[in-house]
Amino acid sequence: MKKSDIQEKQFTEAFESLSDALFRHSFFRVSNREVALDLVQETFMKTWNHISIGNEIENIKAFLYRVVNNLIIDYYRKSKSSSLDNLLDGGFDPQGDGADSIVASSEISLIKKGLSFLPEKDREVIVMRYVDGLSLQEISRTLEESENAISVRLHRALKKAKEIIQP
Amino acid sequence: MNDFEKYIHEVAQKLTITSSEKVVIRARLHAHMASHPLPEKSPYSNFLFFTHFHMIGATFLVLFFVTGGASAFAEKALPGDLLYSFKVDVNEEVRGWFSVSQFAKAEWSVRLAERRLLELESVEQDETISLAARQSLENSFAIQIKQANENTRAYEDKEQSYQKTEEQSDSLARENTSKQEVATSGGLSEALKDDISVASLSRAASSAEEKPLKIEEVRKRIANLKVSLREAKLVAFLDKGKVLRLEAKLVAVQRELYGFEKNELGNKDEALKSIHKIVIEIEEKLDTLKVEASAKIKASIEELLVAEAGEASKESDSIKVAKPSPAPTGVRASKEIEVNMPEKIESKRLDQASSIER
Repeated sequence: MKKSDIQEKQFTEAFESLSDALFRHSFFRVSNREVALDLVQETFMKTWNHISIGNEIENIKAFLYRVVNNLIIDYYRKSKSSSLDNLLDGGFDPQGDGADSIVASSEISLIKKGLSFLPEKDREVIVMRYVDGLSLQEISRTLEESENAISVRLHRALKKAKEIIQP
Repeated sequence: MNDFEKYIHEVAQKLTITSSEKVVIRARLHAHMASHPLPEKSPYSNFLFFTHFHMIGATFLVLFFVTGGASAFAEKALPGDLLYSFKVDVNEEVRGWFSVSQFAKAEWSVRLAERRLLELESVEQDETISLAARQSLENSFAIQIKQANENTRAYEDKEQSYQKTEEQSDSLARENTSKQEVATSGGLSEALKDDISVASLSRAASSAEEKPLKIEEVRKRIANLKVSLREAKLVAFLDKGKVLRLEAKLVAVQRELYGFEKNELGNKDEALKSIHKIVIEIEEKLDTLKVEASAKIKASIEELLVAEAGEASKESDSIKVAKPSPAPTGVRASKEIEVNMPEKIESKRLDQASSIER
């Protein structure tokens, strides 16, 4: 098998296995399902562009998270003018595959709403740690910060989130 | 992970992309992948690093060897050869660039005239060379010999003007010439004298013998003279401009000899005699130059000796004027007396010995 075929196969597998996780990450960060879907699509396209010009990717999972993170930052910069209320109203549209009941939908909405009250930096680490299930090491590598700093920030963010979301 | 953390995690996992959404994204992604294909790796891509700086270096290296080789081969090229124009237009042109001083320029033009003459002699044997090519070679020889004379004259003029300014300058400047140079020049002066006497003796012998002149003899004489002229240029006090002019003249004589061999000249005996006469003239002129150089060397040595004697007398005067050193005292004094006056000590010992005997 040619190297290009192997790369293509690995990329397709990454899409199948990581698209949902990236979607969840985007959704809880931007609070808008459509925007989250666009971000996922954009993330994979940008990654493919990077590969197609001859670059090698050592850890595709870490790379995809870094790309989606940058795209979210860009999204926030662009939509700075829009208020939090507009964001909440426009993006409150959780859906899932057949099994997601009204209860599940309401639970997701609750978490999403709770997280949306947190500062972006705190929301970022909570989503990465508890939505994406990334380890402290993986988060620190993606955000390019020390594990210690991530751990402290996560602890504070969780305390705030508990006060808002605690069922 | 505590209950709250577990709760967030579990709830979040319920959120997924719907299958219809996934199909749409997958289709768009595949279209994007098709429009941005992966680069096909060349089987030679492992050697890709050679295609950059290494290739540039290799190209220069190849060019260097090719041009260097062509240059070396071109040196032996004759008119009509493929590389002859390379020899004349590239090799000789480039070597000419390095002749910066007037002397070097003059010398190089003499060498070029010599080269054209050698080519003329070489093409003589070659029947494939056209008459036009030979004629053009003759012309270029004539141009070169003219150029050589002009350059030599220009060098001589420059030297003369330089010497005039030198003579006007302080004589102290001459004293500053290194003693070593003058010392070696002393040796040179002797060598020049020997050289002159040997040459004049051989000339006297040949004229005394009055044998019928042979072309081999003239040729041998020219060859020896060529060497002498080249050696003469290395001597410090010899007029190099005049030597160069003699060299140019010798090249012209060689051309005459070539014409003689080609039966271009009318009366063969007379022609050879006149060539021989010119060769002897050049030899005599070279001898004169050597005598002049010898005289210059001698004068400079004498000048230096006078200067040294003057310096020595000045030093002795200054010693006399200086305060005498205090008389030595004690043990040191007695030792110094012993060292400085061995004769007195010896006589004292002899006196002591004679008194004991008595």
